[in-house]
Amino acid sequence: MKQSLQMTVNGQRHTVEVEPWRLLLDVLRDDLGLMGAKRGCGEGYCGCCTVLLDRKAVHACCVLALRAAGREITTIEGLAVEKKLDPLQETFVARGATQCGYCTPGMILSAKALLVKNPHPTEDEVKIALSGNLCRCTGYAKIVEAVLCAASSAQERNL
Amino acid sequence: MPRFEYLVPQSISQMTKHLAEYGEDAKVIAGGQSLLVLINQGLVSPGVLVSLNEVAGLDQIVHDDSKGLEIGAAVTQTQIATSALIREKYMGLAQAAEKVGSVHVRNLGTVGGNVCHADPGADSPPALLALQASVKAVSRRGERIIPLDGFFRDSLESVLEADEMVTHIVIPAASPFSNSVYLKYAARAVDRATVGVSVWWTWDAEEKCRDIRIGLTGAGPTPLRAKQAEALARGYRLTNEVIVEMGQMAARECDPLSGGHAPASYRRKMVAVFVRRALEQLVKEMNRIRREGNTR
Repeated sequence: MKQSLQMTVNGQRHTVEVEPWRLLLDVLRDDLGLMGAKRGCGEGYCGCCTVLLDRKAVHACCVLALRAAGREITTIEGLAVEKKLDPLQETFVARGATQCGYCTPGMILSAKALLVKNPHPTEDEVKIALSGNLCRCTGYAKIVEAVLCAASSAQERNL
Repeated sequence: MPRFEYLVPQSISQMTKHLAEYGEDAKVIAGGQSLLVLINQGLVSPGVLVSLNEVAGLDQIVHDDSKGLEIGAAVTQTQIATSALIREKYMGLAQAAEKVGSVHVRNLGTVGGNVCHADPGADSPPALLALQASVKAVSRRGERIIPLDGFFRDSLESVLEADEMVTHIVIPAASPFSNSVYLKYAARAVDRATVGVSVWWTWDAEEKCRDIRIGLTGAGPTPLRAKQAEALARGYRLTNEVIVEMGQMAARECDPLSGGHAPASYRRKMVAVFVRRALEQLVKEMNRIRREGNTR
């Protein structure tokens, strides 16, 4: 019943044998040991399981693993380059945009997908991009601030 | 997670062969944003999922000025929402697409899936009803075009047979002097609509309504048209009085269910409010279009 699944995760090619009913989230966590994406609601609401599929944010709890065949996945573990945090991760730390941390990987990846496509978003665009990610601690204000701050400091660096 | 087989055919004929073979035990999967949730929750347990994602051409939006628009069953809501063509000619559909769930859901979820899932609070169906859309349904037995007005049978049920699949959504050519809109009312952005209203209309040189269609969601066991409200408009200018009366008529003729944040009586009231707002917005936009001499 198992099928061979080839996909690129955080720049590395992987071949995994999976049953067709396995979810992408479970294969990332249980087979590849990448625990950054979390299981939350399992219904595509909370966004704790957010990963990037070909640079687009998706809920990994609502994607069959086999759907990722031949495609590129980015998890939160793939953002830092040689232990240097991504600027989004740095601003989340600097701005105190995390509390318990459970939603943080998903928040950062949704924000990453937005900034890749739209490097200078408005506050409303940030809120829309994060509408598939729930946070039960922070009240969202600092998260939105952190994303806007990461976008504007990227702009300054490019000047 | 319940167990199932997963088939990924490369052509429509392979697809329909699988569907004919497995019948009720098979389900077509596109983006999976509704179906996988139902499976996760144990509400359905198909033995076979047949993916349409690798069938060539189904991820295309094809437009022809005389024939209209053909949307493949694998086209995502993100594709619809960001299509310049759809935003220009079928704005109500683009607005419905950008209101479906979250970015995550829209990146995988398809307009075809949104229709076939037949959720009474789904966003795409009212917009498609207003645009007089049909679906192209294919099986081993042949092909048929099913008008969307008549496609929905009950909550989560359509007239589609077990061996049929929707390959395309077809929308007639956009007429000049026409416009459409979709307004959604929901407790949170990612929720299904408490009430959603889409209106398409076309006007004449005297700003009278030549034709109009109103699609509602959250207002019955299925998405539906508000045909009695439409009848109040044809041949008339959409004055404030007419608009208010149309909202009230739509509220009377719809058949909302209770539950999901709102009792039926409240949904009915919101139908009146959002039909009115949608019409007010369209009249405002007509005035702008006429001022700019745009013949869209």
